[in-house]
Amino acid sequence: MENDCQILNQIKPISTAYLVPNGYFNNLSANILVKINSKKLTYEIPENYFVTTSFKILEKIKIQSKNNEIIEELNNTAPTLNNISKSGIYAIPENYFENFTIILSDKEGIVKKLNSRFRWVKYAAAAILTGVIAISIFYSNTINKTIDLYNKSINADIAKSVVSISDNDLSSAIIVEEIFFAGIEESNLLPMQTDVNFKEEVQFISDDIIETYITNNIANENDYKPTS
Amino acid sequence: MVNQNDKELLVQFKETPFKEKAFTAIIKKYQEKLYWHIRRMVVEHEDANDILQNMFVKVWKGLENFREDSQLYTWLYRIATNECLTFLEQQKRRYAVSMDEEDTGLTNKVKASEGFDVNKLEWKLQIAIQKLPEKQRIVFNLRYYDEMPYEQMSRVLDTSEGALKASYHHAAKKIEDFILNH
Repeated sequence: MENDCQILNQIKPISTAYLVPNGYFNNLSANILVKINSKKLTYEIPENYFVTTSFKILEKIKIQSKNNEIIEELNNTAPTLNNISKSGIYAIPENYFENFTIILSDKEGIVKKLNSRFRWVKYAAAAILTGVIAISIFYSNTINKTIDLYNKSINADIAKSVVSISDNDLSSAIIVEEIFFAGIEESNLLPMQTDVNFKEEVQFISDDIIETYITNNIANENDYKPTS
Repeated sequence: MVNQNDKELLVQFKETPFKEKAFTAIIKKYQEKLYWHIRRMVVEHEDANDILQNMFVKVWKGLENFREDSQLYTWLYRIATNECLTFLEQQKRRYAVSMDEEDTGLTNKVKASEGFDVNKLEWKLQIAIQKLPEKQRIVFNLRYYDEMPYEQMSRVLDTSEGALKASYHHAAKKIEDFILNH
């Protein structure tokens, strides 16, 4: 035992021959932690990676099972559709999605105001048009009624006048007219109107002579009827 | 349940300094899916682009009051679908065509598309889809292309899951028949 102690005492000065930096052991734990952290930094991971990873894995599993469900569903009803590519076949302009922007112009408010004003004008125009049509219909009805009333009053006047004429006068007038025009063709009537000599001769015949002639010839009215 | 990212974007959107940034992120995230959903309905790119622009303008206006009890994704699809239906309705009125003629119109648009090949199954499928009634077409596209669960579709289209399943089944059958017989 004594020998051991002696050996240790002899070694002591030798062991101090290995120098360590000042405060090495004091800082050792801190240095180790720095090293650990620096190792972490060499492999960068997205923020909240570990929080969202489980979520993403679950999403992938869901998508996979959803796809299977859709394929299964079509296998039963329309299997051909499972063999058709779903990739977009419609052409779109190059970089359409990269350049897609929404124009949120300040003028939108103005457009809205214009719209609301136009809506008011539309209603006003519709009201005016309805008014014009209604007035037209009203006036049209009034005018028709006035014309009807006018026609009725004229007819009434004629009827009154006719009533006041005696039956004898009326029948004589009708007979005279029939005698005068009976048997005279239209072609013969025209030269008579234009025959200047005839007119001149008629001027010299007195009314009494004509009246007597007509009265005497009433009995022979049948002679003037046109021969068929 | 709102997707984590969407929730963050919605929070950012409600904070004025990040509003536009958050909105741009929403556009970037959903533009492609929504574009294809619209494009399959209206066929022509110009029309699809107009509808997509209009719908995102509406989203900008309505996002402030968006209730987080429904998914942003579902809400966006709902707006896109409504915009498509409004557009098709306007087209019908403008050209005064009946439903059948309108289908023919969309079929003609498919045939006039760049790269159309009558012998390719993919194009036959597109023609068959355009021959479906509007609502059935939406159901088919959402399920077949967007692989949307019936539960989500039910929220987008306000229709029961059972009715959607039946509609999809009929649509798939009609399309298969058309492809096999043409």
